[in-house]
Formats: sequence, C-alpha cells, structure tokens
Amino acid sequence: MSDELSPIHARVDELLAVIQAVSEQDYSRRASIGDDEDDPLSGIAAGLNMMAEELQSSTALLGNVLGAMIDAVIVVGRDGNIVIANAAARRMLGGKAAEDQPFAAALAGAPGELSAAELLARFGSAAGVEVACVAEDGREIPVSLLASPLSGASAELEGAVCVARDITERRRAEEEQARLAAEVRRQQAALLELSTPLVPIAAGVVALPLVGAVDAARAAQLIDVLLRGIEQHGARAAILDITGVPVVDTQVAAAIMRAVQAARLLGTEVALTGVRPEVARTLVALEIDLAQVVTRGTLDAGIRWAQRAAGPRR
Amino acid sequence: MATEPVLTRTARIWLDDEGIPRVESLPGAEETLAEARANVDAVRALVGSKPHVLFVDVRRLKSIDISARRHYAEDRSVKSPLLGLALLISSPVSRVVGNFMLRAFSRSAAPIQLFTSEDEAFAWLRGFQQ
Repeated sequence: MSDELSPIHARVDELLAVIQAVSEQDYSRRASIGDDEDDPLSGIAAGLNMMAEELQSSTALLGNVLGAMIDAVIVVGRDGNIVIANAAARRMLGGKAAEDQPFAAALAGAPGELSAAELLARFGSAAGVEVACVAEDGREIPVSLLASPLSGASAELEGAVCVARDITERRRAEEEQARLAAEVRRQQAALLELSTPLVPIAAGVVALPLVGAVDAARAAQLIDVLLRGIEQHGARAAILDITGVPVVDTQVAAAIMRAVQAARLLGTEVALTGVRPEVARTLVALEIDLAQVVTRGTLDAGIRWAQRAAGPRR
Repeated sequence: MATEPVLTRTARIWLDDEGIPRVESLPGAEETLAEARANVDAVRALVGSKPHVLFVDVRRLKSIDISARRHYAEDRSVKSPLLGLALLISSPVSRVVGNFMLRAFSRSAAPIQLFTSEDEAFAWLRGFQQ
C-alpha cells in the first residue's frame, strides 16, 4: 500500500467499522469528518452519522411506544416464535416472553407451537378472543387477545403482532355484577315472600292480607303461598284481604279468581275481604264474575265467616 | 433595511439589502441543539413573527445532529411563519446535510429547496415575497 493511499484506507476502515456497529444496533459510534470540505469521504461520514442518528431515534421511538403500552405486545415471526415482547408482556409472562420462545406455549389450552398464520386464524377477530395466558409461575391470566398480520415489503406474511389485554379486573367486575344481580334477585324473592304473608288466625283458618301492587310475579306468588299455607295448616277456610291493594285490574282480579279456584280444589272455601267501593266499581266494570266467591266488607266479617266455615267437620 | 451580522457560535446571521434573513454557517461549524436554538432565536430577533423567507448557506457546515435538525424544522414551522427556505450547498458534507434537512422539513408546510447557486436561490425566494 502506498503512503498516499494509507490515510484513505484508514478512513474507509473507520467507515466500515461504523457500518458494522450500526448493523449490530450499536448507534454510539460516529465517523470522523475531515476539515477538507471537498472530501467525499467526509460526505459519506456525515451521511453515515446522520443515518445512525435517525435509526437510533426511530428504534428508540418504537421502543418507547411499545414500552408505554399497558397492553402486552408480542411480535412473532412466521414460525410463531417471539421476536419482540414489550415490558407489559414481560411483566405478564415472565420468561415465557423471552425471544425465540413459541408464543403458543404461553397460551392455555393451545398446542405447544402455533405458527403466525395459525395464531391469526385463532385470534384474528377484530373484537379479540378471550383466552388465558399462562405466566412463568403457572398463574393463568385471562386476556383478550388480538392478532394482526405483519407483512413485509413483499406483502408476504412475515409474522403477527399479538396484543393481549389483561381482563382480570373486568372478569372480577363481571363476577361481582353477577353476584350482585343474584343477590338482588334473592332479596326480591324474599321481599315477595314478605309481601304475601300467610297468617293462621284460628284452627283451620288462614288469612292472606295483601298490601301493595300486584304484578304477574306477585300474583303467582300469591297462589303459591296460599296453597302451601292451606296444605300446611290444614285450612278449611281462607281469607284473601285486599284492603291494602291500591288498584285492582284484570290481572289482579284474574289472580284472585285463580287463587280461589285452586283453593277450592283443595277443599277450602275462600272469602274475599276489604273490597272498597272503588274496587267494587272496578270489578263490576271489568265484568269479573264473583258469584262463586264469598265476599265480606271487612276482615273482621271475613274472620267470623271463616270460623263458621271452618267449624268442626262432620 | 440591511442589518449588521449577528455572530453565534456556528453562524453569521443578518438581514440583507432586500430584507431577506441570511444564515451563513461558519467554517467547520458543528451544530447541536444549543447552537440551533441560538440561531433560531437570532433569526426571530430579526424578523419577529412576520411571515418571511430564509436563506441558509450550509456549505461550510461540518455536522448537525438530529436534535438540531428537528429544532430547525419543528420550531420554525410552528412559531415563525416560514414562506420558503433555500439551502445553499456545494461540498459533499453540505449536500448530505441538505438532504437530511429536506427530510426533517418534510412534515413542515414550508417549501424547502437545495441550491448550488446563490443567485438561483434568491430568485426562488423572491417568488414567495411577491
């Protein structure tokens, strides 16, 4: 090598060293730029330095974006092995988020290995698919998993980007909601029970004072409570007191008639008491046939009737 | 209308006879964010918040790092209405710098163009002043 060329070779070697460092994602090295403004090698060095800076900036931006995401992001190659896992993924899966591990190994119930195409087929739904991830310590974490295709410049599938959102809290909230709904239903049933109290008032006589509005559920409850009470107390007479029912419509009237008929089938006479004038007007207007039903104005009168009706059997 | 040049660590900055702000990189200038800020402030002191064109001679510039490039592109486009930016280049380094500046300004609304002739650069800039 001539003495004239040796400085040029040294600078080319330096440029090659920077290129190699960049290829190894080491962006810290810089090529020196000489003072000779017309030196083309200085132009190459300046370009190389700036390219390294831009690459470093883009890489850092990508890392920052992935790191800032609260969802676990796992990028897999064609073979389904992990290429990149963000901090959230590493926190969720521990060692199972390590590079080159098959991502499928972190999915409960999945075969040990799934290619990118297979992951896309299973988890490519835009709404995400609920599945459990298995952490390194064996803990199962419910997640909503969405896989999106990763294509290269040739538009061929190069892998998949999998985003897993931890839905533990959502599940917990849903379970709590279901528990509360069940509790409300249980309390509603208890209230219904309390709102149709059956009172044994004498031997063979039970009374069912109704208070409040009667809807379909309560009407069914009314019949059930009455029949069970009749059976339990061996009642021969029963009193249905509707003093506390604010409105009597077709539905309430029909429920009362059904209760009376059902009681009769058990051999029990039923008296309807507490029929207020406006209720009587409604019953007439609705053309409810009360011919077969004993009616008394007050509960007292009903009790007197019931005691007679329940008198000693022959 | 012309002003006396202001000297920063990396450039000479002044308004020429036509009122066009000129920035001339000093020989061997190496710009980082601090130098870029000083240069932008110096130009702003000359033009205020008026829409303006800008002539920058980077022929003697030795290097400009990414934070300086971004500051020029982002700061100028947001705070100081730039009608057009002409970059004068000639050396291999300045050509590369110019091309990276084009990229940095790609998100800016201001037109930017590289020139190897000062006359052509000014002719282009005058078009924005009419």
